[in-house]
Amino acid sequence: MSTLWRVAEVVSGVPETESSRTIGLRVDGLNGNLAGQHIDIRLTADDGYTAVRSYSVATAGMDEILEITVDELPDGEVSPYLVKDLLVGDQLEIRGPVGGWFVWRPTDPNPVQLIAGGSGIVPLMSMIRAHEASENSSPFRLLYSLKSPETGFYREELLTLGQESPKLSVDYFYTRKVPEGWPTTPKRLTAETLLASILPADTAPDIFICGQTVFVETVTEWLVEAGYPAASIKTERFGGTGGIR
Amino acid sequence: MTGNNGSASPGPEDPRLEDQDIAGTAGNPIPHLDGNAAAGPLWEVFRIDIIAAIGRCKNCGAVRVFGEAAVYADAPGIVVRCSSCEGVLLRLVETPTKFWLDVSGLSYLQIDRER
Repeated sequence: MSTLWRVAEVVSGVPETESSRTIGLRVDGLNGNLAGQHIDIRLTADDGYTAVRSYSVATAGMDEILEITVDELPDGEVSPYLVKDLLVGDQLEIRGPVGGWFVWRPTDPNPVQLIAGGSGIVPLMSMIRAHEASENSSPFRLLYSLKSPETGFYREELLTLGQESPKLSVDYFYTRKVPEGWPTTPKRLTAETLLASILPADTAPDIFICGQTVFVETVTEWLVEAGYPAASIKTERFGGTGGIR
Repeated sequence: MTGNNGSASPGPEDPRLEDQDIAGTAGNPIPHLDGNAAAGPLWEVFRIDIIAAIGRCKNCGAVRVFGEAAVYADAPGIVVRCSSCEGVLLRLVETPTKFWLDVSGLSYLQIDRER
């Protein structure tokens, strides 16, 4: 029996948006996770068929509990089950948390620019939470690109942190529908808008980008063209069934 | 893909079209993931997390963090390619009872010991 796959017990399930849910998992002997890591979840059908998917952890350092936020994909094999059917008390097989590269550590000295496209916010939220819980006083800035206000994850927490935290600022960008009273109409993100809403290159930020593949690649290209060193940029692409959600 | 027309038209609601929310080009015809996407299976093989390890590409000699490599996962196995030259660094296939691992594209891996 492998010690790498462990049993996780579902301890909470809270709708995040119309199509997504935040799921709390308790794992014996977990001992927390690094901000930005992910877990693999394995579901096994009665006939032995298995499906493995990766999900970013939204929390950091919570000892034996971690939370993931799963967005339901319309033709998904795993996500509809996790969002709609999974119950508190159910058990899941998980591997991880893993991934020692797309991570932020409280000892990292640089300012941090986070750029999220849609549900790409999840691992970045883990970094924000770890940063808030730490003594680290480097500035964090988040640019969160969303289709509409309703599709935003962690809305209240981000609103409160954005207003009250002295070391985090949050910028939103809406591509399809804006909140009431928003100063601009919805539009596609452009290099100009992006560069106006992030930490300038001369502050030497560490940059984390997470979202759909094209989002991540386009934003990365814009940043490199604008003079941000490629080595300062870490990316996490979604895409296909092998991607991390 | 069309450029930014500045209009507020919402477009289709199919989430697979979400990529069109950005003014840019598709670029790479075969989409890939980041090195991180291979973390789970490689952890199971190596029993340590090698995503932050440094590897040398046997094809071009580039020495880079594994997490920067390109992972092609929409296949029966995982193919990891060098992000400098696109040479194959590693291939991994899982069967119900075995792993098949080819690391012939890596001339070395430098791994931090646990502190």
